[in-house]
Amino acid sequence: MWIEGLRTIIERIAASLPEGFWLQAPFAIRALVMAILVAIACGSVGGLVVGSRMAFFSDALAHCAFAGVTLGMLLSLAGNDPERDQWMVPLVMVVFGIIVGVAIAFVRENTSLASDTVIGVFFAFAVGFGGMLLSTLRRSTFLDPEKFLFGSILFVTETDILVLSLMLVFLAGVLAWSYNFIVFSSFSPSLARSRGIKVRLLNFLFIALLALIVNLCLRAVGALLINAMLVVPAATAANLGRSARGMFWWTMLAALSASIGGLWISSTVSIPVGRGDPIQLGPSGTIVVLSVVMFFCSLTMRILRDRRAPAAAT
Amino acid sequence: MEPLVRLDNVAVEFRGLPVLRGVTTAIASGCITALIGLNGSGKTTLLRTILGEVPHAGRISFRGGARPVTGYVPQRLVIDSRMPLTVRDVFALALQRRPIFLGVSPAALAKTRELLARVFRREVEAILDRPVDKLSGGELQRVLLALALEPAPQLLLLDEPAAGIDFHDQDHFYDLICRFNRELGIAVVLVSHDTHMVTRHADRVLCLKDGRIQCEGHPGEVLSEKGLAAVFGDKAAFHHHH
Ligand SMILES: Nc1ncnc2c1ncn2[C@@H]1O[C@H](COP(=O)(O)OP(=O)(O)O)[C@@H](O)[C@H]1O
Ligand SMILES: [Mg+2]
Repeated sequence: MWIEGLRTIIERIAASLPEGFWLQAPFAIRALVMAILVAIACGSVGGLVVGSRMAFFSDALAHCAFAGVTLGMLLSLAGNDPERDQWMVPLVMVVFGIIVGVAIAFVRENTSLASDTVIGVFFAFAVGFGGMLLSTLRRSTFLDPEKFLFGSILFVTETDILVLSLMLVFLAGVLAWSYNFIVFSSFSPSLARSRGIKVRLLNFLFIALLALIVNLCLRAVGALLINAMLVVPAATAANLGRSARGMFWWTMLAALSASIGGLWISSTVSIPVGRGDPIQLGPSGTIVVLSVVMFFCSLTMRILRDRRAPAAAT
Repeated sequence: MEPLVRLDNVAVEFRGLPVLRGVTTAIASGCITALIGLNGSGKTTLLRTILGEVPHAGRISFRGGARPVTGYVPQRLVIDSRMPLTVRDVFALALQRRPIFLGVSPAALAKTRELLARVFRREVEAILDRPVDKLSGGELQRVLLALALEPAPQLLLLDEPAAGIDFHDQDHFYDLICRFNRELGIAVVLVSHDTHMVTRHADRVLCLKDGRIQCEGHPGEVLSEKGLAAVFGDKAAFHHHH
């Protein structure tokens, strides 16, 4: 019912827009809405990922989706019910991501191995497992490998939008309660513990949230690029923001403008080449490249600012 | 009065290596206990064990049964975070429920000013917007001490709190700690390498050597030439001067 309503609204908006406008088709509006939702989801936790130095960790989670989706497909091939696969496969992916994330945290906590070594090993397992069973993924009706790697924002459905919106509501609730604790724990875990903050519990909670976000946003931007959405806008914000609040809102702004801008560029620009059809830009790639361009602009601004006022920076 | 914290035969091992062995002592409210000993003798571990961060054998019990509100100033805080955090932010994170991305609440800001004013001799306004990772060692120690004062602690655990504080500011810093101790009746345990300060301000001295309590008592007795020689061997002249 909700889905029907959403579809009607999107079709009405599309019909009311002027001829030739890039959002004239319902699929383009769905893509825009999805891009905005993904930007908000990734932007709200990006600062925490960069702040806690978890960029590599979240990259590993993204690649775990490779193993997760393979596992999901394997289970669904056994079941042979395409109707059920629509929610089964994403569910397996999310659960698998959470399990691997918690496993990484657990191994890291209980051995003296360096953090990046542990993450690297799990990373290898996830990609290896996916590669081993790649043929399963090829047989999939749910996702073809290219869409899985780079996303398919132009093909998202009303259901995808609804699921992601619900996730955002949940995310907002959790962050409103735990954001301060998570930042304080990353500032100094031992100080946080002495103030009664449950650092371990929060760490696991944050990992679970990340796994959820990564796996649900994957449909739009793909496994190879989802980590860029988490990390690059926050890296931009770290150059521009001077406080925790500044960091959060700069991240949000950078994520939103890259998403919307990138989608717009990829839908309107095509590059003519010598012969054949002009080249169409991939939306997720354009979004990420734009966001990297923004990062380098912010880096330049930071360097100029530090040079102009070296005393203020000390 | 019954002591605030009682340690009964407390022992800690890290991967099979004993770091604390059979530590039995008590910490009283309103009393400054100085913890001294060579590097690696287990002072930091003892504080962390009292905080409940380290798995241990033996018993740690608290007056009234519940863990007292504890303020902690760690030795050499390593700031891991790559998020730009100002002094104002750090206090807000600890003091307010409102998520930090919605800004610092006026109540938290007022409290922050009040806490900072208790530990800084100079104007605190300028320090509010400084990034915490750019503070000098002494400024950071003061900020951490101010943070440890809220919520009002019954127990203050200070791990080399004066490290990084200028020589001529150290007296002021220790006077502050004494004032909190006297006025608020807080039990203070502080790790220090400064025998001069320990003699002046501490009520009790606890010396650790290889994870064992080597001696404990009034600073006058423990810090006599003979007492020091027992703890530090021939290096008794340690840190007497700067
Ligand atoms: N987390 C840890 N893991 C392994 N060994 C540790 C750990 N913390 C401390 N140690 C060891 O315990 C001993 C005591 O350390 P510490 O309590 O920091 O001494 P102090 O503070 O007196 O210099 C040292 O030998 C140190 O190497
Ligand atoms: Mg120490």
